[in-house]
Amino acid sequence: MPNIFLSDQPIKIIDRTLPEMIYSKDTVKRLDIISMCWFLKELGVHTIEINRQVVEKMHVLPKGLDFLYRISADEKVDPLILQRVNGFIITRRELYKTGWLEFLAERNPDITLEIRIEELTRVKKLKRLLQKGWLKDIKTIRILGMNRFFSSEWVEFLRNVCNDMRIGMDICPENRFSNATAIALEAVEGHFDAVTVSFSGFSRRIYGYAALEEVLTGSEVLLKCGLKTNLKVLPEGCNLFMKMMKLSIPNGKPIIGKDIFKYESGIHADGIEKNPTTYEPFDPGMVGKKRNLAIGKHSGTKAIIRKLKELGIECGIEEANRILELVRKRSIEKNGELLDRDLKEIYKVVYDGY
Amino acid sequence: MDIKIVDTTLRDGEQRAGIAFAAESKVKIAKLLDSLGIYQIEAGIPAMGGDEVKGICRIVECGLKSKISVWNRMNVNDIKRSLECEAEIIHVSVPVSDIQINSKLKKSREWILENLKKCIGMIIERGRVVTIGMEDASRADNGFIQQVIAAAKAEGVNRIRYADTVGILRRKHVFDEMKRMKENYEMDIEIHMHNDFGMAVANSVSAVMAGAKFVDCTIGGIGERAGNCDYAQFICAAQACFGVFKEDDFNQKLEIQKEILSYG
Repeated sequence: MPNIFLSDQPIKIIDRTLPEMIYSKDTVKRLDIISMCWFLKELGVHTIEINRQVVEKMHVLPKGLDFLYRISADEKVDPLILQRVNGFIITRRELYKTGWLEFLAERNPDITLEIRIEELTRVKKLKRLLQKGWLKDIKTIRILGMNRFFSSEWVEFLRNVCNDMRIGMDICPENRFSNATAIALEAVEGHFDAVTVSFSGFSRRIYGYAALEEVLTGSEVLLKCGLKTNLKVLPEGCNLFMKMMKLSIPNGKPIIGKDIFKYESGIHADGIEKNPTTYEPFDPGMVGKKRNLAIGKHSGTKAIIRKLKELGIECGIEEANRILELVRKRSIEKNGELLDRDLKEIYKVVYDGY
Repeated sequence: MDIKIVDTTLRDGEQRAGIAFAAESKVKIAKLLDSLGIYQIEAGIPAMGGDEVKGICRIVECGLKSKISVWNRMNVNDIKRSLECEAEIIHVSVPVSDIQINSKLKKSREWILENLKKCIGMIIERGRVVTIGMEDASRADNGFIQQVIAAAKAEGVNRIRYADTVGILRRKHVFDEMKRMKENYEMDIEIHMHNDFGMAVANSVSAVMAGAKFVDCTIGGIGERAGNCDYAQFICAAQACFGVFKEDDFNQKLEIQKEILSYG
């Protein structure tokens, strides 16, 4: 397994979940939004992206959190916002508004310009902007999209572009072709300045972004890059997100799915019993979860014995074999796993002859 | 570019806790997979006996265009059951990481190599095609992987499955590893990615870029833990990257996939 040791400078994790949530469901409550902010910080997010709609919902920005404010050239710049946020993010539309950007930069020099780039060959548009002098007030470029960055060759190429342009770079991959997390982790490993993600990859757009929890857990487990995270709060954050959005997170979603540490197959159950690392990339406790042995069609006799023991019932191999036959039959009838009471019923049938 | 999909919905997919297809459902799903143009359907595990064997035998009897394969542990009793099922391809899963060999099997690398030869011999004697899967290859020692591939090749195996059993690989590593295998061995490579960190599709695309011809997928990405490479997401990404599927075909495939998912 690759084992990369990175420099002391951790990448900044920027989260853009809130504006996406409020755009999708503007009935979210103020206190829930504030709880979400604190959850994101606890999880390991450095900067929370917000916009006018988020601020209107929150009324007051909580102290102790860093915010990146998405500002539009049509907006009147609120002095309170100017004081309170750590930086601004704009698009090219704002860039071309004469005088406006200079006004903003005088008050807060931390300005990020978001540009959509879908293919590596389009990176040259950054150089054109630089040559025409449009980037003099810009501290960081955020590259949004990257949907067609199918190989990791982009890392070196963009690193060289950053160095030539002497500008910070924030990577915000979209997930149209299911490669956003891969790109985000490459950004972490490639020592970019920031990576922008969202919780569970959520977006109002159809494709989504790199999933925050995948990037943080991947950084910790695969890259071992020393980001300060507390992944144990993920289940709590998931519940908050589902409550706010009235959405379910799929049971098999990486890192946060309800059933990702549920195992049934005999081979896996046996391996996990002997050494959980045989079939687990990381300990479930790391992300606030527990492993859970399910009983069903693919169970083996050892799993039956173990499950019955958990339920306070002792059982030998021969008996377990008879129980297993009935377990498989019942599981197929149900098209699913057996509950504890189903297993106890089957045990009664085998032992009491009912 | 010709990408051959090996669908393992009826085997690895069904191993997701809480999924249990009856024999009739397996046959219906297999027919739908066949209509998708899937190259190979991994129909199940004959060693489970009972309803599982019934389902597999009925799928074989259907005479589908898709090739039918069955999955085995590296175990002669498993293989005997598989030979009775008359599936065209017999897949043998070979644990190759020291974690799997020592902790799970409590055996040695030498035992693995000896049994590998025995199992392959049994299958080839009966005139069937055998493929070998390197279970947990992503955490295995490269030197031992080379020994396993060399041993399999010497016994007449033409296709090796590289399995990222716990989903820890990243694109660059996949690309480099597949390229190295392609250059060093004249064998077809099949890639089997798990989605624990959300990268199964990206890794599978990377493997194809480096020369892997066979890609394992499941419908809906179902499988152990966070599942496998999702079929629809993979063909979407493969279409964008390699242009291998026609747009009309693609929409039809999504419709058929919806029908398959209704069985779960």
